[in-house]
Amino acid sequence: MKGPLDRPGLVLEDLWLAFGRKTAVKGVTAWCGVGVSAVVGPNGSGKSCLLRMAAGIVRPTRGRVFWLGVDAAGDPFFLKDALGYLPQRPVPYPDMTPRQFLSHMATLKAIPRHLAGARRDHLLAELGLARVADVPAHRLSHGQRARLGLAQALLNDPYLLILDEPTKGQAPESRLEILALIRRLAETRVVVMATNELSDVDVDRDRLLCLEEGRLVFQGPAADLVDRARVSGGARRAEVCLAEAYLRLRRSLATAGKKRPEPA
Amino acid sequence: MRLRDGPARPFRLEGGPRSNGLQSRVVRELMGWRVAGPTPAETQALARFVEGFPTAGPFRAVLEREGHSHANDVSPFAPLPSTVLQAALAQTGLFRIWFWLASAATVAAGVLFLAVTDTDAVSCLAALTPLLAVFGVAHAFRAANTGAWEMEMSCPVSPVHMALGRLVVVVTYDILLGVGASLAVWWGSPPAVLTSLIVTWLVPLLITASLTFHLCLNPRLRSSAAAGLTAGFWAAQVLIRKTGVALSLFARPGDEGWAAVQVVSLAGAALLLWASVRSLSLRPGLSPVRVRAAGRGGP
Repeated sequence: MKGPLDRPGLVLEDLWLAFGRKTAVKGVTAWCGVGVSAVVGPNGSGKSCLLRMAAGIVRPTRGRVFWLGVDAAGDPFFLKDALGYLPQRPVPYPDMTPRQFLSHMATLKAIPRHLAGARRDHLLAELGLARVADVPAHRLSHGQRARLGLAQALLNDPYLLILDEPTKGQAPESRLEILALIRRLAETRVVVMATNELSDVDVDRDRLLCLEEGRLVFQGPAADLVDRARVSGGARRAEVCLAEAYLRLRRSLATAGKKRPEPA
Repeated sequence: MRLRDGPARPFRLEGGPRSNGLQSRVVRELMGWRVAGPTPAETQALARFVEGFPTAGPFRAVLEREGHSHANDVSPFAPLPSTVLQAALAQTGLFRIWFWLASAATVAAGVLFLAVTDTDAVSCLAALTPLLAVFGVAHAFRAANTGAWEMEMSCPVSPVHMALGRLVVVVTYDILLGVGASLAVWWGSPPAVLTSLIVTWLVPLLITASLTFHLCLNPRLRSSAAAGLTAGFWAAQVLIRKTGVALSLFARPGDEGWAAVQVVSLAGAALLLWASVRSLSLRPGLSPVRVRAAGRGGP
């Protein structure tokens, strides 16, 4: 890993997060550049904690986060001004309508009032929420709330998008639309996305960060993981899908026993 | 030439170099000093670094063309009162219409009740006004420690300023309502000096608001639970006073130790406020308060 000033984008440097005796994230060092960086791992592997630290919501017990070479601890507003963040449970105020909630978030993001209204309406339409724009959030479905969470993340047209399971709870059609939107945004932006669905990952384009019990066990293009599995299994690339490559990686870690896996 | 003149200018103004040989030698050295320029390799490395930057979307480009950046407008290190006031004004949209109406209607109903009955106006105001603050603060923090809070924390606003801004909205509105009620009661039949009447409900309002604020920020408590606990605490204070025990934060002007109770309550409110701000600053999260040095307290 090079220094933070050699990598344009989001650099996580030796991040640790401990809650009392439990350590959720253990020394993760990673880089996320323009494009999609998919964070995968089983439940409880520390994906959400890592994303919260990257977004500046949770302070690391140890380690640093750099955005475009600037330490987020020294200047959190430089990171947060460029950020759009979708939490794992994007529950808006239950008594607020999507329109009201987006207006409130636009104020917190300091979007001028004369621009905020048009931007809010554009996002409501783009994410299929125009019909429920004036319905209180407690009456929205889980998928609609998640899309509202995504809309607030996109309000300031961020350079950096940190999305915690953006397709969770979505209907198949809506899921594909959201993934298409994320891919379009990722052409010029840094997108970090936690997911449990390996089908959300584009093997040919995305980078992959694999977490296991808080440790980073693989980092690199998703295609590299597939190639690694192909070489070790003696199969052709077309015969190894990402899911199988990922399972092989996990199996190899399991067979390594209780040995501490080395970060990539 | 401007660059060469720069370091020497203060000396010239003071007339120092003419009178002191050593100073003039230093000034000559400074005037001849040049900053080393970057090497071609360093320039190329910087160009590569910048090339990899993400680029702005169309809306962001409009935002930046307008010269609007949150970091420019609200510096986290700006003087606290103005920033908190700014945060308060920005968050008034968070309060639903029924909050404003219900608070005003409650106070109006109370004043009307006092006008038509023989109830002791001072006790009534002092006992009930703090409850307005309790439920107002709970309403302001109804989403604390939830997904909405997490989304708000990702915005370029200091969590401390954001929280204090909400508290300011509630307390200011309740004080305005309380002063209005006090004037109405006092105008009708002067039961006491106006200032002592106001102090009698204002200090309990401040302490209950601070306590609810402190409890709402506790990640283990919902805002409704925080409101319930504070309302219970205040009800207990009122009941203790009714039973004649002096150790209560509820006191009427003329009661024994009234002034001491007000001072203790104010000190308690200030302490709770300080503890709340401190807990917000130290809580995991990149607030403007400096993070502990990396490595300390690490695993």
